[in-house]
Amino acid sequence: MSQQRQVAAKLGEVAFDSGEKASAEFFAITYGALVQQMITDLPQADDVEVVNQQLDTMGRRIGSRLVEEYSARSGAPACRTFAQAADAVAIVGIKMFLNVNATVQPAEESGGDTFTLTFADNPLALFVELPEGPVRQRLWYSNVICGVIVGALSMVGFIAEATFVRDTLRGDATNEILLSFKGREKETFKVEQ
Amino acid sequence: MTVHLLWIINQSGQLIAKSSFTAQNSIGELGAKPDLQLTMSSILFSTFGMSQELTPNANPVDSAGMTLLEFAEHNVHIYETPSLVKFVLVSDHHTYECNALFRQLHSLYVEYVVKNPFNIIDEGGIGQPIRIPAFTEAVKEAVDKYHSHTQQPAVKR
Repeated sequence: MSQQRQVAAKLGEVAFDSGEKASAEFFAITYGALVQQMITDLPQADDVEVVNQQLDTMGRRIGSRLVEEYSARSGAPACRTFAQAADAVAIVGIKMFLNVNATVQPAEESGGDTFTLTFADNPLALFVELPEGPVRQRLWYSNVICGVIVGALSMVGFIAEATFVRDTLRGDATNEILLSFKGREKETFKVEQ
Repeated sequence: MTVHLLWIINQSGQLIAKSSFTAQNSIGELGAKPDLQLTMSSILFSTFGMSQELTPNANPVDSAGMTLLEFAEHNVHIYETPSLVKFVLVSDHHTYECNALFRQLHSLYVEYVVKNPFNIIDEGGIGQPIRIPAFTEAVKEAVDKYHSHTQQPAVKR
């Protein structure tokens, strides 16, 4: 791990330690009830993609507010490049709010604008066994995390996409999110040349 | 070490909060004319952007905007968050930094404003003035504490 990442990891640990704690089980069960309610409310029982979309939308709203808490409490510096932002999300943000040790590396052949975030533990999925059928095949149970990341990054000027590519609930060995850079928010001020 | 006025300006340049902490006449016309505060906060927002763009710093990506403006009677302090919300404090001309107070105000903004799900966060340029009495009260309390702490050395002397 580079020195910068070691510093970032320390920031994440300190930020997590300084936050108020709540029961991880309560959090997981609450989230589970929310997802289950969304699935129950589906007009078409196999239309699972709708739940993925709803979780993403909800996550964006969460992320746009959470990033302010992140900047106020973690003390991490503003990110100038998307690579720095990906590091900050994985090493500081995810550690700070979920106490999960995630790793981040550039995706192969991406040219530096796509990163994979990998984490083994998922506190949202503590007690979850997905039922066989369309839910197990097509639900990204923790898709709210992708929405949170995208919502947070958009508030600090990065347009990004985040999608799950591997999920332990589907039988994969680990959890993996693909984070892609899509552009910068327009500058608020520009001197005309 | 007196702080007269706080502005919070959102990333679209809208004045979403203002609080006075001293008598109205301590900041001249700005105290008497609320409309002037709207105008001046817009000018400050634009000037801040210009200061980032026009900096002689060789690497403009790494340049922060202006953080301190010094005048004969007052200093203006500016603190920008990574989400481009700007906190502005007008102080007496002896005060050269307010970093601890800014960090405290930022924390209060997070706790009372950002975490309120019914407070609109600058979506597509549509901001919302902060009308949360608990936040206003917490800000005044923080500044009062700041005043009492920074007055002590003078009293001891």
